[in-house]
Amino acid sequence: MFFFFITRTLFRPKPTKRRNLFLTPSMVKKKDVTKEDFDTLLQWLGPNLEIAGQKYEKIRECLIRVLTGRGCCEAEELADETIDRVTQKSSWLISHYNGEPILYFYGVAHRVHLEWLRGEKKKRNLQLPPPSNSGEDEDDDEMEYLCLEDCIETLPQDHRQLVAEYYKEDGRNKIECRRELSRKSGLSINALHIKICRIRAVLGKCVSNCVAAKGVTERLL
Amino acid sequence: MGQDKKEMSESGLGQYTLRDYFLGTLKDETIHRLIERKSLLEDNFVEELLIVENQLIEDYLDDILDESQRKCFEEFYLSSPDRRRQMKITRYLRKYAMKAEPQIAGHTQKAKPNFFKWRRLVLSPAPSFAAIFLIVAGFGIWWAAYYQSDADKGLAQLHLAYRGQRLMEARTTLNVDYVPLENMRGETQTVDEKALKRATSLLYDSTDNSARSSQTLGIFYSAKYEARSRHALGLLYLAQKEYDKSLAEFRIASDCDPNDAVIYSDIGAAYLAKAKQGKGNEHDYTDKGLEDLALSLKNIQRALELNESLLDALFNKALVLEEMNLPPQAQEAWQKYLEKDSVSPWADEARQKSEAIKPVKSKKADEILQDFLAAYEAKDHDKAYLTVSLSREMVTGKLVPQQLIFLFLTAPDEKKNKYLQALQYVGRLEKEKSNDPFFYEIADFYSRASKEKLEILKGAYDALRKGYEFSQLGKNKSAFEPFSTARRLFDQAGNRWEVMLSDYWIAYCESYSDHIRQSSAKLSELADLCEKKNYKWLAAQVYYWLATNENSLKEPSKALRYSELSLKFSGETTDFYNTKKTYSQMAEFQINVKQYREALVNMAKVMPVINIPEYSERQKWRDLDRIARLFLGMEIYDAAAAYETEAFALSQNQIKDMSFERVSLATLGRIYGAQKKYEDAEAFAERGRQVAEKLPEPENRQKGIGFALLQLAALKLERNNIREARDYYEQTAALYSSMEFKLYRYEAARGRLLCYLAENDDEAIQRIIPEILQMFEKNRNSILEEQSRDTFFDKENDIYDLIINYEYNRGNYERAFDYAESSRSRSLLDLQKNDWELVFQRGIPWIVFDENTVVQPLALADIRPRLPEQVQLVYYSVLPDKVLIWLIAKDKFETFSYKISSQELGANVSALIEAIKLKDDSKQRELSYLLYRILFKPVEDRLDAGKDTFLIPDKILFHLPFAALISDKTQKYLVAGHRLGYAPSANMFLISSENAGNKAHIALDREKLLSIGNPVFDKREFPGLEPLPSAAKESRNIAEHYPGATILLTHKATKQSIKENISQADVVQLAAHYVTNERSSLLSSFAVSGAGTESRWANYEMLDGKLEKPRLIILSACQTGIEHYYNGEGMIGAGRTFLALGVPLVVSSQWGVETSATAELMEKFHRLRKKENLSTLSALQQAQLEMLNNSDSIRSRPFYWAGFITLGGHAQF
Repeated sequence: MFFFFITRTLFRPKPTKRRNLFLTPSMVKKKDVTKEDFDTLLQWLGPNLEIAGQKYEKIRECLIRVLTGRGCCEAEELADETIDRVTQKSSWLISHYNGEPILYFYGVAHRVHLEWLRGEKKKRNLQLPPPSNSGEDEDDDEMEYLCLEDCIETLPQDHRQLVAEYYKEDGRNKIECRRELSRKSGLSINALHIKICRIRAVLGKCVSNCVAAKGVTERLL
Repeated sequence: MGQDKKEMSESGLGQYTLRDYFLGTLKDETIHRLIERKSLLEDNFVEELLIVENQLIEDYLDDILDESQRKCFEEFYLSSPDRRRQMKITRYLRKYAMKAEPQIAGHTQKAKPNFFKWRRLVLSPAPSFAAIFLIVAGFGIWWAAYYQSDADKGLAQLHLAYRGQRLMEARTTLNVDYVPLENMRGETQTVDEKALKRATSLLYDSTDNSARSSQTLGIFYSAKYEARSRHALGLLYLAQKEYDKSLAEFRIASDCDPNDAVIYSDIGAAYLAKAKQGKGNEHDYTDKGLEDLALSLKNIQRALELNESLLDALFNKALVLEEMNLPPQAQEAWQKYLEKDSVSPWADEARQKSEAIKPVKSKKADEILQDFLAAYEAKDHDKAYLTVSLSREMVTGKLVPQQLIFLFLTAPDEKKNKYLQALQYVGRLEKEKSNDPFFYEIADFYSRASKEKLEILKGAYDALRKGYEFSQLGKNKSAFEPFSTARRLFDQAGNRWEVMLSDYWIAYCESYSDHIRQSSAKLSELADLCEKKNYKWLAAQVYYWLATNENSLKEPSKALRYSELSLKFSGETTDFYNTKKTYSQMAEFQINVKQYREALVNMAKVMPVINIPEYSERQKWRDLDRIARLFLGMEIYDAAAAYETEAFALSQNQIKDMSFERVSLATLGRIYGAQKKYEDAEAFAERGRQVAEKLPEPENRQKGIGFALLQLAALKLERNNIREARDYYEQTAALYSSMEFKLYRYEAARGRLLCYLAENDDEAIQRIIPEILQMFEKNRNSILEEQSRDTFFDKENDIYDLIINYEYNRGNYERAFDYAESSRSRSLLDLQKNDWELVFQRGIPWIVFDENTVVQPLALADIRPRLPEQVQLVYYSVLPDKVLIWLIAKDKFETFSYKISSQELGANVSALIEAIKLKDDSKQRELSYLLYRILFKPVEDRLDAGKDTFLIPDKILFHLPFAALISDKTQKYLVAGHRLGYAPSANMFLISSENAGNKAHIALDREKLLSIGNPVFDKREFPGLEPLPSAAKESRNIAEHYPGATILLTHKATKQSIKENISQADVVQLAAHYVTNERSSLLSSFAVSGAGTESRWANYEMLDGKLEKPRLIILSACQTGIEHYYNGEGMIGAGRTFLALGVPLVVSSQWGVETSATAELMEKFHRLRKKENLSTLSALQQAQLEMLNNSDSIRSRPFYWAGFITLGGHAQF
């Protein structure tokens, strides 16, 4: 359990930039999450560690998606802040809250987002510079692309082929090309899109891990 | 992109909504939250989102997003690192795929064209032409031999998906091979899902591509290609029984290729299938069903005009004629089909269908009697009663009790008892089943009558039957004498029941002899007596004829009231025959006041029975003639022609009275005229006149000739033969002038005016205008139902337009204005006088005015002195070829005009509203400038800058958001320079201003607010609506500006609590859903808290009584300002209802508004009104300006602010 706590809280994917810059005073004054709180949270989320862990991951992913959908450029930070707040309330939740946990997280995320928006407004008034895309330079691009190539190599042969065929045409030609691909593969167009989405999700994770690993190596050098 | 639309719709959210979500342009908060919640809870939905997201990224990378989408993509979508990463992955994957292509197993690398080699070749002149020729020729051969478009491929897959199945009875392009009818698709049969999916994909792609190419390819865009794609997609929907969608696609297809017969044939098939979907028993169609059948025939006929040998259309024509209950024409259509196709399996089916059509034969009186006697002897009471009920026509001698009496009187003594017992049996049946003692008492009388009396009664019956014979021949004047003899003899024998019956027939004859009022007086006495004695059957007959008389006197509302009474008594006696007859009669009256929808509802109750053997042939003719004239009014001419043709055949072959034939001929002339088949039309009308001239009695002849001349005149006018038209109209007018019968007098006068205008005969015009306007006012007085008045004047308003135009062209501007004002919003003016009541007829509320409550509007000379100093009116009249603009103030009366056809103006207004709703900025700006130049620029320089400007629009202009027009001088929206209000008419403006003056004594800071928001409505009543949490917030926030405000939110916002509180409030803010009703605007409702119907607060319920206190009502909901408009009456909607209730100012909306932007606008409005002490007009103007100058470029679009207008009059508050 302790190991899970360490990996999920201390080593969870850290937002790399501008951590805490957006936080309002109320957010900064928060208590730290204790291991007990975290255990209770997991207990609330699932009957065993594995299920709870999966659910935790899924909730975090969902929160990031929702916050991103609201145009929030610090979705990961806010998602983590949301999780922290819920974690601190987990012992109350376990005895009082009846319902889908993710909806509770959603409610808290909504509040966290509103606080963030207020913070952003203040910053705009103070004429702070807007969030930049710093760090996304060409070197990173090159590295990411190399990672993608490596990651594609880890895919099964049919998936590799599917991806290559799917993306080989752009513009108007891609419609015909994909229709052809859908016929050849025996998948409906929609099923083909879904399959590609799933492969992309695998690749996305792989590329993130790869970039993180390469980045660490390079910085160490 | 397009291939996924079908799958996307699984979530219930369209692809475009999801794209808006990613682009940050989704402004509907509720949908945004819905997407978020679904993305949390439904994995499938997440995948759906991802697909849309990936497609959006690819569209961005392919540079096919438009400018605004691209901007949103860069500024909003890419603001998140995660999303930037997603885009990068797509870019990398494309890069990878490009590099990887040669290495993928099983693929050979395509040789890249060597551009430079080609260029050299092309640039050398000699081989270049040959090369180009070869390429073009090669392409042509390939195209002709092998090319299949997506639409073709999709269609092929669609055929595959449904192979071996007959999807519908009609023939369509869906049928490749014949499948027998019994193999029609049922629930248990399967579809090849894979093929269907492929078809769906291909057909969506095909339409997407054709739609895109229409925007991008310019002159290379092929309308035929789009027609093919749309047609194919329509077939997909047709196969899936989504008829409305199918028809929408077919319509686009036929617009793109108007000469493709196959498309029209398939449209006909789709309408037929749609009609059959809602069908009950045999021929039992709803009003919509009847209309769909008519539209089906119209399209099939169009297909046959384009290709007379098109088998699908020939087959479907026969089918639809069968469904329209026109067997002889269906039979003929089958024969025509078989002439073209006699060998295919379709031909076998056609043959079977043709053979199955039985000749329609009406039962004769003696057959009906035999049926009754058989049932009577078998003691089958229900059948016996049904036989009596189905056959109550007297004039043809079918009425069973009268047949029994005659037999009793004439039979040998040994048989008399049998008929007397049967008569007593009928009497008992009637008394038991309907509590009507009429025939029971008659039977009793005959059973006790002495021989001498019976002898007298026999003579009475001989006379009665003689009267019937005359009447059947249309010799009603001649029938008068035998009926009078019968009456005298019945009276002599002491038979008071049949004295009453004779009186009814005498009144009938008087009516036909143009002694209408005398007839009505007699019938009224008879009606009283019937009611007193509870003789329901006879009462129903009497009221029916009273209704006919009132119609002849052009009193449609009185006529309808008598029809209602007739229907009531027919219902109580289960009088099937009279019930159907009365429904048909009501339809007739409704046609006269242009209430076509209501007429169709009534005809739908009649049409299923017209071919049952017991039904009366004369009544069948009336039904056919009425439905023909109904479709003529609805401009569905093919159906009108089909029904009238049937009526004509009936009048020639089965009915002895020539009056029927002459009406059919004249009506056919009119229908063919409308179809522009002038030679046929004139031939029919001329034949109508000839038949009318042969009518045996002068009054009937006079009426008949008048009617025929009227049709001939209309045809001559249509063909611009003014001289002859004028002669005919004048002859008609002369014929009618000496008659009590008034039905067509107005039509004759109207025709004369049109002829005089065409001939510029000023003297005649000056003579006829007062005559016509007097008739108009008379009509206004005689049509008491508000909705009927509005529909009648909607259609007839063009006469006012002609008169206004005439006076304007002569420079009589004030008179022209007075005519304009006297045609404007008159019902609303009448509603100010409290002499009306709300009446329910078959579930529909009607406002019914008392007689003589018409309010005469003030003329210009009286209006100007009453105008407040601070106000100027900009008054519009949309005429066929120009728009007139009047500027009216206390010290000003000026006139301007702009030459533009009303169609073009209407199209521009509609296009602007469309562009605003679609947020098409460039189109919107272009049209805003254009309409400014047409409607406001002419008058703008003459406006006083400091004054409030009240706009009084006309027709389509009620929909126009004037605030969103852009001045080409200042480049600013009009809202920036003008405080704009709206009023329905100048007179209504004065009344609202006066109401405002009466309510001005409350100080602004002492106003009591009633704030209603986000009612928890019944989802079952309003299935498509979502809760409005932002409306609750809006209501709370607004209330902060009003100390002591009453707030009714969510569950508290019930109909009861709103009604209780509204009369105590000065200001009412209502933030809720408003749902319009197509059938009646009085049924349009706000969705309030409550269950079932309690959840609807409809317009008719608001009309409880005058609202003495409220001085400002803000209807913060969709389309509360204008649901639709009538020419003449103008805007119809909730805003008008509150004006009618005496509320001087109503802020309402012109279109479906967006909830969160509306909340923002309303909060600003109230803040400005209260904090800045601004008047309502100024506060709305400033709030709209704040929205316009919003840093949020999306919210600054007119869609979010320009839809709200202030309706009413001038007010300080």
